[in-house]
Amino acid sequence: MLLQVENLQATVADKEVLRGLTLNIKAGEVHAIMGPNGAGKSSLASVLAGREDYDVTGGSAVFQGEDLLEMDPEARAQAGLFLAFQYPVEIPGVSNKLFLQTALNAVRAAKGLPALDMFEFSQFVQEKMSLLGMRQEFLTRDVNVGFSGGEKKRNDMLQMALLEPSLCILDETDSGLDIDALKAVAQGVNAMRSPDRSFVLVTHYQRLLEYVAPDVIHILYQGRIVKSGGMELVAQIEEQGYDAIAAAA
Amino acid sequence: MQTQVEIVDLLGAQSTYKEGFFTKTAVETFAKGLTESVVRAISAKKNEPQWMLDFRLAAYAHWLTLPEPHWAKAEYQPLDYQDYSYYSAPQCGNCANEACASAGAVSEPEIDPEVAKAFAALGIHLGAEGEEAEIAVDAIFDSVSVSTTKSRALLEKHGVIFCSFSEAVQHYPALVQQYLGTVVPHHDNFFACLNAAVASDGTFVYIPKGVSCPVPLSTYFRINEAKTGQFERTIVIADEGSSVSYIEGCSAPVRDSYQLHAAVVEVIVHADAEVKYSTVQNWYPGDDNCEGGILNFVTKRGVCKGARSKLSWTQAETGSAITWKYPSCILEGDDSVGEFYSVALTNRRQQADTGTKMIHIGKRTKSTIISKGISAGKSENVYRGLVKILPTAEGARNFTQCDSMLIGKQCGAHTFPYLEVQNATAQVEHEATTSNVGEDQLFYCAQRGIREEDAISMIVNGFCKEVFQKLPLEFAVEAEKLLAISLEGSVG
Amino acid sequence: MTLSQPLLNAADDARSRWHALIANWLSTQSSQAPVEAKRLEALAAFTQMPLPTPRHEDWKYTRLANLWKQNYQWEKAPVTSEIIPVSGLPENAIRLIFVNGLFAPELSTALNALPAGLTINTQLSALMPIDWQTDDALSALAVASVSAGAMINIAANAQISQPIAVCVIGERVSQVQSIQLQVTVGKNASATFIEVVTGAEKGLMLSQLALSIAENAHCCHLFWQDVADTTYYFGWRNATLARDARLLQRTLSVGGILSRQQYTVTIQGENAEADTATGVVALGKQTHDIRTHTRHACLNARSRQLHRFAIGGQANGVFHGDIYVERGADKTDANMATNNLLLSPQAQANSKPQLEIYADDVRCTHGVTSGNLDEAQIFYLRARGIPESQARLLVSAAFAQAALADVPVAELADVWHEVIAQKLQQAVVV
Repeated sequence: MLLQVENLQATVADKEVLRGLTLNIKAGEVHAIMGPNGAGKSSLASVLAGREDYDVTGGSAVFQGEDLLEMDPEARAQAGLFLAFQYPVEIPGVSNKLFLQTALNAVRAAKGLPALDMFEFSQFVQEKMSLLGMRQEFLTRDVNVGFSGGEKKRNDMLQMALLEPSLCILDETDSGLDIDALKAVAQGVNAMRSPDRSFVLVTHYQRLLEYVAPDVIHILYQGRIVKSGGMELVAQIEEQGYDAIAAAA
Repeated sequence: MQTQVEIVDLLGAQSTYKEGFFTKTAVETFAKGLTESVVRAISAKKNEPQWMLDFRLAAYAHWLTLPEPHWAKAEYQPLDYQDYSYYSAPQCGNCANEACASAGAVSEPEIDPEVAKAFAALGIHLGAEGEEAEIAVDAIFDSVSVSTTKSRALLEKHGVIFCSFSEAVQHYPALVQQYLGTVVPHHDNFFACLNAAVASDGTFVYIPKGVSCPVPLSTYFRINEAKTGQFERTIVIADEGSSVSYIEGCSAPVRDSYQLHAAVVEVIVHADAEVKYSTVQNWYPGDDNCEGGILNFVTKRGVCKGARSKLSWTQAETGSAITWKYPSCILEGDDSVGEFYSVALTNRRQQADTGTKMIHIGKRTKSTIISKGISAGKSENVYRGLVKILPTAEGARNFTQCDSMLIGKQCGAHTFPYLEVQNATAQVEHEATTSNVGEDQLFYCAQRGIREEDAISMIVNGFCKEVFQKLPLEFAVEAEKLLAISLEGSVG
Repeated sequence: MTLSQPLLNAADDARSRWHALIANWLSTQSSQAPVEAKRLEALAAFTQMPLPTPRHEDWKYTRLANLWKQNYQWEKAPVTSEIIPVSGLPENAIRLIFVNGLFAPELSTALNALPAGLTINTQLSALMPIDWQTDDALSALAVASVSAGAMINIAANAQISQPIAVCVIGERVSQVQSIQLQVTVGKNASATFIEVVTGAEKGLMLSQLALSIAENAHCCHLFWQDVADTTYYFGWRNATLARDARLLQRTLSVGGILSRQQYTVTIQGENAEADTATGVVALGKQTHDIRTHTRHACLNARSRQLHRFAIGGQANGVFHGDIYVERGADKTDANMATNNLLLSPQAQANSKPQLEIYADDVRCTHGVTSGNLDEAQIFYLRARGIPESQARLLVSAAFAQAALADVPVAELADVWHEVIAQKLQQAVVV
C-alpha cells in the first residue's frame, strides 16, 4: 500500500474540514476525488502535503510505511509526495532554473543520489521540457511571475516530471483552465503514469476525467468519503447531484 | 437692544468665497491679550468647576514654556498672541450656554435672530425647523455654542448626549473629567496647549453602549468677530458596540487680518464601536495673496481603545490660509481599524500641511490612508504622515496611497511619509504618485465640447472620487461644489 | 532635555578629545596645500557645529550614542600583515589600493601605464579637496581627517573598458581613515568605477566622492561597503549629471556596526538619467542608513531608485530618500522604491521617502513595502523538497539580490550574490 489514510480529522482556523476520512491507494493507481465546493477536497490535499495552518485532530496517514503526519513538508516531498497547487505561487527574483535545480538536488540528496551539476541538470531538464512541449524561456523567467494560469500549471507539471514522485496529488489543477491547458495537464499526467506511481486527482469537474481515466472515483462530502466506485459514478453525479448520493450512501 | 442687520454678501467682489459675509450683532468680546487672568476670566464666564480651571491653568503654564512650531512646510510670521481676543459671544441674555448653566436642563434657548439668520444663510436651520431636519446640529458662533438641535429628543429616546462642550462641563462633569485630555493631553503641542488654556466651546458627544445614533450629528463653526481666535474643544465618545457619524463644517467672514483657529478634537472608541468623523473645512482663505485668511492649526486624534473598534476620518480641506492638521488614530484594541481619507485642495497662496498618524499597538490592527492633494495657483500642499507599527502589533497591516496633482507651474506638492516598522509580521505598503491635468486630457474634453474649467473640475473630481465616496452624501455634493469654486482662476 | 543631557556630554567630550588628536596629527603632517588649509578649516568648523542628537530630524532613527564612546587614533601606521586581495575584481581592473588611510603604490596598478584618456593622481598635494556639508558635523570631521585621495580624470571621448577599482582597506585596529575621491568623466566618455571599503576592526571609516559626469558621458559606479562589524562607516557621494549623461549606481552594504551613506544626485542637464539601486543586509545589532537626495534641476530627465533592505537580528534598516523637482524641471520622470524584508521579531525598518515637487508636468512616484517572508512561497519551496532553512535563504537572498541583478561587472555581481547569501545564512536559521 502506497498511502493509507485512516479516519483522518482536521481543522483549519477551528473549523472542522475533515471528519474521519479514509483512503487507500496502491502503487500505480489513479484516484479521482470529487465533491462539491467546501467538501474538504483542497483541505485533504493541504493536510497530506503538510500545510501548517491545518491542525490534524485525529486519525492517521501512512505513506510508504512511514507516518506522513510526523514529517515536515519538505520531507514529504523528498519522500516522493508531490502536490500540484491549485494556485501556484509567484516568487519574484528566483529564476525557474535555480528553483528547479535546487528542488531536484534536495530530493536527490534525500534519496542518497549525488547532486546534478549545471550541465547534467540542463540536459535532464531539457529532456523533460521537450517531453511536455515547453519553451526555453521558461527556465530564465522568475518562478511563476507573470505566468498565465495555464503556464503556471505547466510549470507544476514540469516540476512533477523532474522530481519523479511516487504519489502526485493534483489539487483542482483543472479549475479555470482552457481546454489546451487542460490537455497539457492531462498529457503530463498520462506521460508519467507507471506501475509504481500513483495519482490523486482532486477535482470539481468531470472534464479532466475525460482525458485521464481514473481507476477509482471517490465522492467527498462534508469531510468524509461517502462513496467510491468506477466511472459509472460520474454519470450518477451528473444525474442526481452530490446531495442525493450522499443522502443515499 | 438695537441690533443692526447688515449681511454683506461679498459674492460679487469675492466670488471665490461665498461664505464671506459678516453678521453685525451685539457681542461681548474680551479685550485683546492673553494672561493668566484672561484664562481665569474665561473659566469664570463659563461658570466652570475648579477642575476645569485647573486644567486650563496647567495648560497655560506649559504653553508659556513652548516655542511656536515652524517645522511644517507652511510659512507664517510669528503670531502676536496678545493681539487676539480670546472670548467673543453674541450678547444675548438667553444664549444657549448661560440658559443651560442656570436652568440646569436642556432647554429651548432663544437664539439671537441675527445669528440664526447667519446660519440660515449657510444652509443651517436652527430652532423648530432644525428639529425636523435629517441631521442634528450644534451651531457654534465665535466662542460659544448658540444652539443644539434635536438634543432633547436624542437624549430622551436614545440616551445620546449631544450638546456643547460648555454644557457638558455643567451637566456631565464626571464624563467630561473622565475623558478630557486623555487623547490629547493639555501639554501635547503648542496649539493644543493654547486650546486647553482658552478653550472656547465645542461639541460633546456620548453614545451609550450598543446604541447606533439614529441621525448624523454635526457641528457648524463660524468665526465672526475680527481678531478673534476660535478654540473649540470637541470630545466624541462611542461606548461599547455603539456607532455614530459626526460631521463638521466651518466658515468665516472676509477679514483683512489673520484669524486663529486652534481646535482640539478627542475621539474615544470603545470595543466594537464605530465612529465616522467627517470634516468639510472651508474657512476663509484670505484674499488673492491669502492675506487675512484663517490660520487653521488643529489637533485631532482618536483612540481605538477596545477590540474591533473603528475610527474613520474623512476630510475635504479647501479653505484657510494655512492648514496644519493631522487627524490620527491610536489603534490600541486588537483588531481595531483606523482610516484616513483626505482631499486637500490649495489654490492661490494657500498652504496646507496635513496628513495622519496611525499608531498600531494592538494585534491585527489595520489602517488605510488615502490622501489626495491638489495644488493650484501659487499654493503649497504637503502630505505628512506617520505609520508606526509597535512590537506588540502582531499581524498589523497598513495600506497608504497618497496622490498629488499639480495644476499650473507655480505651485508645489510634497509628500513626507514616515514608516516605522518594529514588528516583522506586519505588512506595510505605501504608494505615492504625482500627476497633473494632462494637456491631452484637456484637449480630448475640449474636442467633445467641454470648457477647460469644467474639464479640470471633472478631472479633479475623478481624482478625488475615492475620498468623496466616503463622505456622507450631502457633504460629498458640497465638497464637489467647493472644489469647483476653489479651483476658479487656477488656469490661465 | 534631561534625557538627552548625558548624550550631549558624551558627544561634546568626544569632540574635544578628537579635536586634540586631529590637531596633534595635523601638526605632524608636512605642507600639503590645498588639503592642509581645508583640513584646518574643517576642524575649526567641526568644533562649532552642533553634533547630531536623536532630536534632530536627520538622526531620528540612527543613534550615535556609542560612537562618542570610541577611542580612535589619527596617526597612520604602516602595513603590518599581508593584505588579502579584494575579491570580485576582474583580472584587468585598474587597482588603486589604500591601506590604513594611505595610498599603497606597491599594491596598486602602475599609474604611468594607464589606458589613453585616463589620468589618475594620488598625490595628496594634488587633491582638490571636497567641502563638508554645513549641516553635517560628521562631514566636517571627514574633511578634517583626510589622509589620502585620488583625482581620477577620464578625458572627453575616452571609452575606458577596464574597470577602475578603488579599494580602501583597514588592517589596523581603532584607526580613522578618511579618503576623498574626485572623479570626472569627460564629454562622450564612458567608464566603470568600483569602490570597495573593507576591514578595519573598531575603526572609523569615512569616504567622500565627487563624481562629475559631462555631456553624453556614461558612468557606472559600483560600491561595496564591507567593513568589520565593529566599525563605524560614513560616506558622502555626490554626483552631477550634465545633458544626456547616464549614471548607473549600485551599492551593496553589509558591514559595520553602524553605516550611513548619503547619496546626492543632481541632474543639471536635459535628458540625463540616473539609476540607483542598493542592496542592504543588516544583521545583529547593525544600523544601515541609506539616504538619497535626488535633485532634478532641468527638463526631461529621469531618475530611478530601488532600495532593498533584508533586516535580521536586532538590526535597524533606515532609509531616507528625497526627490526634489525644481520649478521648470518639467517632464521629469522620477521614481523611488524601497522594500524592507524583516527576518526576525526584533528587526526594525524606518523609511522616509519624500517628494518635493515644484513643476507640474512630471511623473514622480515612490513606494515602500515592509513585511516578512511570504509563507506561501516558503511552503511552495518546501513542498518541492527544499528544506525550510534553505527555502528561507533562497527567498530572502533573492529579495536582496534583485536590487543588484544588473551589475554589469560579472565577477563582482557573482561575488555580491554570494556575499548576500552568506550573510543571510545566519539570519534565516530555523
